[in-house]
Amino acid sequence: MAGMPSSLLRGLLRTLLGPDEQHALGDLDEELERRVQRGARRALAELWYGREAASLVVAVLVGRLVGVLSEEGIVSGLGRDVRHAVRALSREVGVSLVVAVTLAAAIGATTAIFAVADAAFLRPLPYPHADRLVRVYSGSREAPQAAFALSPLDVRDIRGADALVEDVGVWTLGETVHLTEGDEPRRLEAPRASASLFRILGVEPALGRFFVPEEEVPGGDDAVVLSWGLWTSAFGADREVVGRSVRLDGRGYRVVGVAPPAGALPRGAEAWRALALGPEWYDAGRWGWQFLGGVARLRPGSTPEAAARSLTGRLAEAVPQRVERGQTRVVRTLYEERVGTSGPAVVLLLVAVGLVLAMACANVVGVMLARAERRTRELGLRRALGSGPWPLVRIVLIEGGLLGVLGCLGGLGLARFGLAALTSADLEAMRALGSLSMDPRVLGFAFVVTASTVLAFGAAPALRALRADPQVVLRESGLRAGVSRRSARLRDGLVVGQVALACTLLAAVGLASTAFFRLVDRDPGFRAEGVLTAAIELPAGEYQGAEGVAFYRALIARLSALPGVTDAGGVQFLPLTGRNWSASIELVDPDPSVTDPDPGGNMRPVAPGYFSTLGIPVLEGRAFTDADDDASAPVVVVDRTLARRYWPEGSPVGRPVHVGALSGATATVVGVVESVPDESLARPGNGHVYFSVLQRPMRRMILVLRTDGEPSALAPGVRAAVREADPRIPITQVSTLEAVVTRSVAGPRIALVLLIAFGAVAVLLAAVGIYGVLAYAVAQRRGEIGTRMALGAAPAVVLRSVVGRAMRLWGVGALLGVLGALAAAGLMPRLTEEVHAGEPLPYVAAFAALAAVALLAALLPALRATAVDPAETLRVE
Amino acid sequence: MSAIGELESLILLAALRLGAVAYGVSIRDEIESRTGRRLTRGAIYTALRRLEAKGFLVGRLGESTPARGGRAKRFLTVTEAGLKELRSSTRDLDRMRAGLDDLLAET
Repeated sequence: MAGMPSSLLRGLLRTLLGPDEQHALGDLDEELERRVQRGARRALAELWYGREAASLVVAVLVGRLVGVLSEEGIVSGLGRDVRHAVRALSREVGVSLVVAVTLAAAIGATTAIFAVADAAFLRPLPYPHADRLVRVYSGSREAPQAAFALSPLDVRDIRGADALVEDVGVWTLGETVHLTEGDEPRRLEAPRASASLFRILGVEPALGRFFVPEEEVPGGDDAVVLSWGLWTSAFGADREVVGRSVRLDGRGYRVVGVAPPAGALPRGAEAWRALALGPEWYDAGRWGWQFLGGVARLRPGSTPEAAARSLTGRLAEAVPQRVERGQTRVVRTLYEERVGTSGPAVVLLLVAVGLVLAMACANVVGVMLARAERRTRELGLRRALGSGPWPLVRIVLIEGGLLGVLGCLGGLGLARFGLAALTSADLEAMRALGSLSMDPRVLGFAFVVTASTVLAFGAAPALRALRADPQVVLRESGLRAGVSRRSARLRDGLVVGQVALACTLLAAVGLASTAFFRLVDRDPGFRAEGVLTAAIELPAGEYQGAEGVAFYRALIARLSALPGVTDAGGVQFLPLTGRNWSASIELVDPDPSVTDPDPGGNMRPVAPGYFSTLGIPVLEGRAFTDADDDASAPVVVVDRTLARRYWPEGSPVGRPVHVGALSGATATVVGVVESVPDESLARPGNGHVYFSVLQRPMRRMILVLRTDGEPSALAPGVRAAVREADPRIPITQVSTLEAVVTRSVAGPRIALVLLIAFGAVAVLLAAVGIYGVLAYAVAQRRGEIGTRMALGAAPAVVLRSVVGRAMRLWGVGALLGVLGALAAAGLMPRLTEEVHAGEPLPYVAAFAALAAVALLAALLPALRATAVDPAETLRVE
Repeated sequence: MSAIGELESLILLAALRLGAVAYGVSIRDEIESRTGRRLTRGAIYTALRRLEAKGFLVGRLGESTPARGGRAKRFLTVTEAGLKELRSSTRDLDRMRAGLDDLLAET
C-alpha cells in the first residue's frame, strides 16, 4: 500500500522502536488506512505518511538520546558504563594502548601542522577589511617577481591614486636605535613611520595616540610610539608612560602612545618614531633613494593587479622616462605577503597529515572491529538477556570516546611539544609567523578532529552492536558470514599502502639522517665548545679613528683579564650566520696564472685574539697582534681558500694587496689561516680577508671569549666589562658559539625531526594495520582454524598461515615503497655533498626494518590462532 | 513531585473521557475534535512515554488485528496518581482564574 519512501521510513521506525513500542507504528498504519478508505488521493496520503513518520522518527531519536543520558540518571548510568568501558579496555591493555597511541600521534601531528598553517595563512589578519590592505612596492619589468622599497618621490606619486582609498602609510626600513632606559642600554628596531600608517591599517592605539601631521615636519618629529612588547618589557606596562621623555640614540623623544599587542606594521618593530621628510627628499635626482615600506587600502571592488596597472600608468604620466626604463609598481595583499613562499609547503604538510590521520582512522576501525568481533558473543548475550540495542551502542561509543579522550590528551601533549620545538628552533621562516601556541582555535581544531575521529571509528562497531542478533550469536555457529570478500581486500589494500608509505618514509629518514650526521660531523675549521659570543654596537658617530682603536684595545684587555677567560677577541660576523661583507681587493703583483678580472672576498674585521679564541689554526705566517694598529703599516690575514685562489703558486705571506675596506694604503699579507664556512657547514666559505679593528675600528662587533669552564657563566662578566667601558653600549645576542653552530643546522634538523616523526607514525600505523587485519582474520576464522586443528593440522601450520599473510602484506607493500623511494630519489640524485640518493643502505635497511615490524605485528594474532581449542570448536559445531 | 504540562493534561483528560478505548489514535482524535488542535505524532509519542514513565498512565496491549499491519493497540488507563495530579493541576488553574471570569470569558 505505501510506496518506497514510506516503506523506508517504516523500516527505519521498525528498527528504532523497541519491541513494546511497535503499537506506535500500528497507530500510524491505522490512520493511513482510514485516510485511504475515506478516499484520500494516493500521493497526498504518501505525503501525510511521510510527514507523520518523520515526526515520529525525530521524537523517538530525541527520546532515545535523552534516555541514553538520563534513563537511570546521568551520573549513575554513565558512571556505570564508563566503569564498564574502562574494564573492557583494560582487559586488552595492549590493543587499547595501540589505539590510543595511534590516535595521539595522528591528532598531535594534525594539530601541530594546523597550528602552523593557522598562523601562516588561516587566521584572519587583525584589521578591518583586511582583504583590501595591500603592500605597495616599486617593481621592475625585467624581474616581475621582485619587489623593491619606495623612495619619497615614489610615495608622492602613489598618494591619491584612484585605485586606493586616501593615503599611503610608510615606514623606513631597517633602522635601529639605542634606548637608554634603566640599567642597560637596549638596541631597538625603531622605524620612522608616517602618521597615516596606523590610520590606514585601522589599528587603534592601546594608550595615547598615534602621530599627528604636526609631527611630520622636520623639527617636530621627536614623537615616539612604543610597541606593546617594549612597553611591557622596558616600561613595566606603566600607564603613565604617555607624555614621558625617553632617549633614543642620545636624543630626547616624547612618548605619545602605545601600539596594541597585535597588528602593527612592520612586524618586529619595537617603537615607531615620527617620520619627517624635508623638501630635499623630493629633488628630481632622488628617485633611486628607496628606503620606505608602504601599505595602502584598495578601493572596494579594485584588485591588486588592477591597482598595480593603474599605479604604473600614473607613474608613466608623471615621469615617462622611468617607466620606459622598466620601472613598474607591484601591489600585493597582506594575505599574500603573509603566506609568502611557505604556503605550498604548509599545504603539502597539511595534506600529508590528513592522510596520516585517515590512515590512523582506518587502522583504528580495523582494531575496533577486531575487538567487536571478539565481543560479539558478549553483546549478543546481553541482547538475549533483554538489553535493547541502544545501551550497547552507548557502551561501544563510550569506549570509543574514552580512547578518543586518551588520544586527544596525548595528541595535545605531542602538539605542544612539537610547537615548542619549532618555536625554539629559531627559524627565520617560523619567526615570521609570530607566536605558535595552543590558542583556542588550535584547541578547537584538535577537539573537532578528535570528535570526528571517534565518530569515524566508533560508527562501525556501534553498527555492529546494533546488528548483533542474539539468536545467531547464541547459536555461535553463525560464523558471521557477513564479512564480504571485497571489504577484506580493501583492508589488505589499505595495509599494503601503509606499508609502502612507511617504507618510503623510512628510506627517506635513512638518507636524511645520514646526510645530517655527516654534516654535523664536518670539521668547521674552528672549535665551538667553550666559547661565548656577545654583540655590541657603539653609539652612532662616536669612537672614530684613534678613539675607537683605544676603545677596542682597552675592551679586549679588560675581557682577557676576566676570571676564567683564556682568550678573547672579536669579529664583525661570526661563521655560520650567513652574514657577510663582500668587497673587491686588488692584487698588486698578481701571479700570472690568476685570471680573475675582479678579485674579491669576504671582509672580516677582527679584534686581535679572534683566531686563538675560536681555535682557527694559523697555517702560515702569523695572526694579528696588539702592535698591528693605526700607527703601524696595514696588514691583512687571508684564509686558505683565498690564498689558494689568488696565490696558487707560492705563499701569499709578505705579498702586497690593496684592500679598499681597510685603508687607502697597500697592505701586506702577514698570515694564512684555515677556512671557515660562512653560511652553512655544507658549503665552504667564499674566501676571507681579515683585518684588525685596531687598524680600522668598526661600529658593530661580536665579542668572543674562550674559557675552560662553562661559557655562559662568563656572560655577567662581559656585561660588566662593557658597561665599565661605556654604559651606553647595548649588548645583544649573548650566546655560546655552540648554540650558533646548532642554529645553523636548525633547518635541516627540523626537516629531519619532522621526517622522523612522520616515519615513526607511518611505521606505527603499518604495524597496527597489519595487526588489525590479522587479528580480524583470526577472529573470523576461529571455527575454521579449530576444525583444521581437530583434523590434525599442527600449530606450526596455523602459525605459518598467519605469518605468511603478514609477510605477503609486507612483501608487496615494502617493494612498492622501495620503488617509490627510488623514483622520488631519481628526482633529486644528489641530496647534499655527503649523501648520494643512490646509496643502497637506507633502502635495504627500510625494507628489512619493516619485515621486523610485520613479524612483530603478526606475533600476537598468530599465537592467538594456535591457542584455538579444537575441542571447543567441535562442541560448538 | 513532577508537575505536568498543558499537553500532558490534555492527554490525561482525553484518556479519562475515552475510558477503555483510549489509545494513540483515539486520544489524538478526541483532542482534535474537542479543541481543534492537531497534535503531531512525535509530540503524542513523547508525551505518552513521559506520562507512562511518571506512572500517570499504564498501558496494556490489546489483541493483534490484521488491520494495523498486524500490530496490537496499546490501551491506556489513567492511574490513581494520574488522577491526583490532574485534580491538583486543574485546581491550581481554577484558583488562579477565580475572579477573572469577565476578562477570560469568550465573546
